[in-house]
Amino acid sequence: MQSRRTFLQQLMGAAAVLAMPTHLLAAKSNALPWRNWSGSQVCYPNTRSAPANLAQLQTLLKESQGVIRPVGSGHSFMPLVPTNDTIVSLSRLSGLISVDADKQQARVWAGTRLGEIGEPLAQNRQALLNMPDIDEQSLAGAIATATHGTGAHITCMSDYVEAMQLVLANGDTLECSRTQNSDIFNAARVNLGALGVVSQVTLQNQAPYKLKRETTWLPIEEILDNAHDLADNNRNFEFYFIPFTGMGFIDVQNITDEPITEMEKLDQNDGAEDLKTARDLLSWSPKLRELVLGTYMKTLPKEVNVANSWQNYASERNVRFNEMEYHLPRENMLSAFKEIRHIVETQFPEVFFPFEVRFIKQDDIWLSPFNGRETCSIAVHRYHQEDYTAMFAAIEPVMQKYQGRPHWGKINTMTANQLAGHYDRWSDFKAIRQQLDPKGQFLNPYLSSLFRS
Amino acid sequence: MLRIFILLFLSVLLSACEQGPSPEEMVAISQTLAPDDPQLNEIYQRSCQNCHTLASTGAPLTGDISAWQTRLDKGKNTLLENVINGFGGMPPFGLCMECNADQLTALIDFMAQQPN
Repeated sequence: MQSRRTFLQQLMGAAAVLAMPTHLLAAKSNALPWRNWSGSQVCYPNTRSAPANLAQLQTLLKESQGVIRPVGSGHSFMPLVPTNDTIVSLSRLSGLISVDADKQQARVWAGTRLGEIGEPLAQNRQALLNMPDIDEQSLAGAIATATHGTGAHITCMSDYVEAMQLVLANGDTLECSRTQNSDIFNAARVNLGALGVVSQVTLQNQAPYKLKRETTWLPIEEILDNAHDLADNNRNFEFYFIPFTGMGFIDVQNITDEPITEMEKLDQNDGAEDLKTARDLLSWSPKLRELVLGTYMKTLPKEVNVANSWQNYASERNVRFNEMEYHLPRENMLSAFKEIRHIVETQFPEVFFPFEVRFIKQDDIWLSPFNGRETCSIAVHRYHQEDYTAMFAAIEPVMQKYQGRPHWGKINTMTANQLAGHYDRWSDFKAIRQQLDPKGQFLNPYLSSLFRS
Repeated sequence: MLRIFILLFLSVLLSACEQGPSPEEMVAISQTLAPDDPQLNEIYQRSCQNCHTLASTGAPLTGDISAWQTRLDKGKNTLLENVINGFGGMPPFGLCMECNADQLTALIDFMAQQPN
């Protein structure tokens, strides 16, 4: 049977994917560069350390000179990590520490990648309440930046935290929770790595569950007409829009008792490469591009997959990109989306990456972008080897016009004053930060601009 | 008749030998391999192993000598730069944020089954 990719290539009059020049930058002198996932952030740290245990981490922080920045998997696009002093990875502080079966809670090392949490929790009859759509992030990094999945009735991952252990700049450990050092806890639940190094986390989980995931390609207008209803009536709902096609797809997930299935999934990485090829060949004619891609997408069948929850949330992202994502009041999503679509489709014919729209329940975390309001997030992307600045500069004013708060780890130009206007507890967070790290050892230039102004 | 059967059997066996392991077998093989050096193994288990033992990532599998040869033909320096800067779906440093150049080179040699 002809594969989907072969069909698409025939429609386009198959051409080889243009090879992009490899970005090869020579390392400076003796210091190797640290880069984030997309390569857009770089620094040359003198010291790159991965402590093997808590005692080593404490010693490192106590004895380090200059700035110390924790690094997770490097999936932030903002300059949260760069320093030419010390970066510290918790990749060796990984795994399950203990479980409380009665409370359905688990204590986890903060360096654990999200993709490595599901199975050990399942072995202990627990599961995360929700997960984002990639699982490469470290737990500490996910919490620090208010990483989220989608679900109108589900909060972001920071809200699943019941207690934390921080290692401070002087090497001391500090325990905090909803009832112990509660102000520090509320500040630390979204902390940008600015308060100390989070070393252990207690997560509130639930009993294991299976999810039935249904992916359906539809005209974008139909998706937009039904988006809010779909969000309200399904456990997890999100949608993607493919620019210049008139089409998108919806992802709906609900808890199920159906048996686990295996079905060929549309490989999103293959999809990204195909969209790039279509852009390369057809950007000269948006109408032809829409005709070809729209025709192809209308042929894609509905995909249904049943899997354990922790196996069904995330997809692999092997095609790197840079991303802007803002979190808007839910009632503003449709208007903002339509304006952003118009900007991209009239000014940026080279864009091929999808938009992603997700729904997140409000919370009460001091620096959470979901604090105090039901939220929709809109994410736009550019291929990692392409200059994103003009496109993001054109879109960002729309996000801000509709009261958006930027994702802490994704590209934005908001200043400290602008951010302070979005967060009622901004000054309280700064006070806690000053208390825990008076010398500013965890502040690189970007974080200094936010918290020392 | 028996002679024909034996010849056919040998030709199938020979062609199987020439083809080497199937993709599924190669995945299974890659998942059994580990560096001899305990320190390098510890790094490998929490970084490279996550992608270089899964066919779905597109990364050359550990121990798949033919797949690695096309990469090695680019030169070790190029491969090292690819790890440092990221390449395709591989993030910069392949998730080992603290690795130095010697360790990264040793990991490449191990996965490509090169003498170190």
